[in-house]
Amino acid sequence: MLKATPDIRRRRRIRTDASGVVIKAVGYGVVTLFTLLCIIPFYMMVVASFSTERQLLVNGYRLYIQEPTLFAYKLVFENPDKVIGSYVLTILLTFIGTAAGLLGTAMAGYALQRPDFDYRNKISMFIYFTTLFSGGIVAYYLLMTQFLHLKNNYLALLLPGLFSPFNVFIMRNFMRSIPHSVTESALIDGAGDFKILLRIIIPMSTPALATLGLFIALGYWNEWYNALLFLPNTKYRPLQFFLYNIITKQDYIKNSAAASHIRTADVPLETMKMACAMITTGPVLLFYPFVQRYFIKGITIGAVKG
Amino acid sequence: MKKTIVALLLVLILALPAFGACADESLPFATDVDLSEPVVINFQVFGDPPAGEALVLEKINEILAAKINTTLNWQRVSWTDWSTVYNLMLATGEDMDLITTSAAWLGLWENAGKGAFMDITELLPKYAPNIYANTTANEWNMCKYGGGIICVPGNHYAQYSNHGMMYRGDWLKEFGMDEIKTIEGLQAYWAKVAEVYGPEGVVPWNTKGGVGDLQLFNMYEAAYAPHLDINGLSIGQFPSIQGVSLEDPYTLCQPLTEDWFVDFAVLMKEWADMGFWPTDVMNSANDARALLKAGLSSADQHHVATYTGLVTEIEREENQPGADLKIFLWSDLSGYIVRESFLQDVVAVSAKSKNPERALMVLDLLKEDEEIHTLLNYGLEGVQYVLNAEGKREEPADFDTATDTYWSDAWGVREDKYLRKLPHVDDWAGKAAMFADRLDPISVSNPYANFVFDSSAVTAELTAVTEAVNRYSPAIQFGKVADPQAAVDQLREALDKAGIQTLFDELQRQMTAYKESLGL
Amino acid sequence: MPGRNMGIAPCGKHRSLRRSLHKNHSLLLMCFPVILALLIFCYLPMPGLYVAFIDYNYARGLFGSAFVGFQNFRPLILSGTLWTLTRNTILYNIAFILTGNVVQLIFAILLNEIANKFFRRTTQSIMILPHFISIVVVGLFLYSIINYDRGILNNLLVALGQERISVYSTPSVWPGLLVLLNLWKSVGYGTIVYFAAITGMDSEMMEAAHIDGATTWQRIRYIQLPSLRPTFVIVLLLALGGVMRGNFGLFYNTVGAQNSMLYDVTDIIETYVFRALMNNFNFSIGSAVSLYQSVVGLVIILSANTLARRIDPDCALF
Repeated sequence: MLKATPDIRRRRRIRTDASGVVIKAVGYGVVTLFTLLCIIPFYMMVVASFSTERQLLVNGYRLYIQEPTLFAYKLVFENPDKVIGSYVLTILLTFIGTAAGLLGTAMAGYALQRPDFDYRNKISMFIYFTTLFSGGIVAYYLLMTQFLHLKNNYLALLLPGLFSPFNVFIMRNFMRSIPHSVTESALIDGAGDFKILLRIIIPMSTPALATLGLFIALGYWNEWYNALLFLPNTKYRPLQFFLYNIITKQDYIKNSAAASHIRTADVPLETMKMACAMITTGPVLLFYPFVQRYFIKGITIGAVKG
Repeated sequence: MKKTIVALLLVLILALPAFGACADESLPFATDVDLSEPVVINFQVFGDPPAGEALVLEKINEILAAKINTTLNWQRVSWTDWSTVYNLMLATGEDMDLITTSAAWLGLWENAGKGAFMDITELLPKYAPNIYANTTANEWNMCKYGGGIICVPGNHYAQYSNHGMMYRGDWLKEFGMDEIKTIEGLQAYWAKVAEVYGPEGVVPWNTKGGVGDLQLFNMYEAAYAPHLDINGLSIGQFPSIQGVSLEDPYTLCQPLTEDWFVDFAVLMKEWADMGFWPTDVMNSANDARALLKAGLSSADQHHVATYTGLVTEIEREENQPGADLKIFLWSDLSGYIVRESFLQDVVAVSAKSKNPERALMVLDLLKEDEEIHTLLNYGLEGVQYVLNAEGKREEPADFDTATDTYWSDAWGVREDKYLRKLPHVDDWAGKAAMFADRLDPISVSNPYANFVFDSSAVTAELTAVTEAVNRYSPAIQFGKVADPQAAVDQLREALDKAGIQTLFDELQRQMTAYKESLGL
Repeated sequence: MPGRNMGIAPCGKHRSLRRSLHKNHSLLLMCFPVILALLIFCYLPMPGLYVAFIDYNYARGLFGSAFVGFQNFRPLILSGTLWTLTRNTILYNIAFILTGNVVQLIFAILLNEIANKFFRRTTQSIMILPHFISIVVVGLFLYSIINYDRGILNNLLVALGQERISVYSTPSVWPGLLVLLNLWKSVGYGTIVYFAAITGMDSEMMEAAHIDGATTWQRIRYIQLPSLRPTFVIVLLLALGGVMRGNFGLFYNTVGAQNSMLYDVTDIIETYVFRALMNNFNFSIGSAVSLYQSVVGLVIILSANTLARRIDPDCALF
């Protein structure tokens, strides 16, 4: 690997022309503005999570903390092992799911873009069709519980989300940008398809892998519906399930006839909702820059190749 | 005079089973039951488990295992998207032996119609002898679908779930007003609240126009046209088809086509313009109960069961001590309450249960064995509660909410005869008097008891009418319309298009048949 | 090996299939995990669509219940709003897809021009935050900003001596507002795809263009945009398949489930179904609506794919 950062070197060499200056200026301006729009609600969430319930009721969501308190976080962490267990489960799920999903997606994406693959159109059609039609929730539920017996099994979180048609098609599209001649010359050298994929194509596709890996990871990180349907009795549930349950619980029970059965102490507080949202979203902020490195690395490889 | 006698009779009837149970020992199970195999019974309940549940369940299971070689497992349905999950579980019938259901809000009869529940007529006397003995033949008749008993009723737990508006007695007094008994009274109170406390940020009814919050319609109807809700039948948020009256329940009517409905729409617009609720009420997420506790709402709409809890809770230091919470019940206007508690919280056996015998045995013990029943509802003595000098429950000194909190979600398993023996120190002292003076005297039995509407011939109309009602009713109820008359016309036109007449005719046909089946 | 493709003998269908399978076996093997997973999780439950045609009885099961033909599709027609709902759903989705992708594309190009690594990384991280904020919470925030009585926006207007504005009762604002909200929520996430496509581009070409004296604008216009076209079209086509599926969470939580003042411009198929089935749970009717959406979606996507294939075979999905 190269020691210097060719990314920056390469950029420095590019002479700035008039249009470049304008585009840069627009770029900085627009991106800064949009970033602000994205961070303000998040910031409001942080503020709300540290506010007292009363402040929130009286003033609504505001931009500054009036009476800072950790009460909401204390409530969420009343059962610390539950929160930590959720974290561990979600992280494990995300790692295993992303690794397996990415490998399968890369294989399919590579095969489907090979012009000499006779079945590529049929398989593409087969894959795409699933985005249009689905058997509905009853059949899916029956499948998962009565045929696959995945009730209360953590695999119910992992398996359904491994591959998505969207990811396969994006991968296929990315791999298309690698000239077919690379594959052809390797074939002539007698390399098998798997070897070509692992040794040549995958190392050349780091930005694609990083991107799709990120998508798959985000999918697993946000997973809650399968947990809702299939994991009623397991000890730990994924983080987002935790969050959703807290956010929606109140709305459902407030207006349902069930309300008389619910202890008021059991109805979550607004501030607690925000604290939960913080706890589930926070790690992504830390994780994302880490993934971004691979984009840069992708550029590096591109430069070497050039 | 007549009322007092009825009240006394009711009190006696309610109290009788309690005496009965104290007198004799519980009935044993049949001796020829094979108990050699250990069995786990899954009992479906709603909500997430309380922190202290594991310990309590362990204790219950210890006793159950010793008595009938069976253990209990809660099959929980979280509140998130509960209706999908619950209906999926019913549809597939998996992993459930006992099911929480309700004629009032969990579609007992619809689901019975779809074949979700087992006919337990034959099993009951043998495997749930105590439940069977403590329920009258007449009561069992009300649990029948297609000739067979399909559920165990919540007949020994007195509760009321009729709605009303809760409001602050201290402010009422401050305004020099009398207790609210009329719609005009409520209007006067809210107007005064808006005037006096409005500037401080108080909204008379600081609510949201959420699903199910359309109770002002019921209030108005109770005053001007006290029609009867057909139990279990829900056609949109405003009842679009009802029984004409208590005297003539089997003749149906369409309240939304009646003249008073326009007056209602007009009044609601006036109230909206007077600022009785937030301007953007239909988008607000305001929680009137939380805001009432925070002193920012002068009212909260819900039912008696909520009121009896909130009335003491609001007096806590962190809430509004001295608020003297009162409730204006719609039944104050209509003069009657249809008793619903009987099928409000019931337990059914899943049609696909592999162990219905054991399931009923477990239920029999949960309901009728005092030790297990007390454990289930109140938790462990010494952990969840201790008894004070007066024999009332209170939290132990070392009670830790993070680990010891406990409540029961098995709503169909509550027996007053045991529950009343151990009152909590925070229980509202006025409850018994309220029931005896204000509710029991005017409560009547449900004329539709086990009328089941078979909607299969008119599913499309039922769905379309529901949609039409749900589309227009919130705006009318909250006065968010430019012209009330025009809005009502729009709703009526949509109902016509959706085929409400077809639905009405079919419902009336079945209701007439039901009336005949009763021999009336 | 280009010669391979010509190797299929015209004689004997059976033989050619075997040969083709043999030739492609390792590529087929590569697709196997994806095919297997989709077969199990997507195709196996598909007979469940049958629930749309029956009066579902739990005891009798899916295939024992009474067949009722198109009965379950009737509520859609009865209300007379089918056309409005379909139109609203499709128009909103097209607006979401087009604005979303164009803005994402622009953002990716702009980000690529920004040399400051720290700035680029930080902003990209922050831009995907909205993707994580639950739409329920977004609805809460929106209310605290625009509500009439105490919203931040109206407080500000009053402070500036202006009249309050009532956003929740002004239908004309909402199409634009919803498009903006959707943009806000999806731009950061979607930009990633285009950004990766740009970083994966052949830098040889960029260098060459630079040496030839191309300006930044020319480089973007004549190299980057054309090479982003396949990605753009594919993402578009993928999104188009769901053009009949409304974003229920967005509409339900921001427009509100009850605010009928806005229905004319904001009612989509999903919100209709929600109102219709709120009081009477019914799997069959829900399924019927979903099937209707799928069929219309299929027609739309087949036309779009044919069109894409005609323009550039590389861009087509299948």
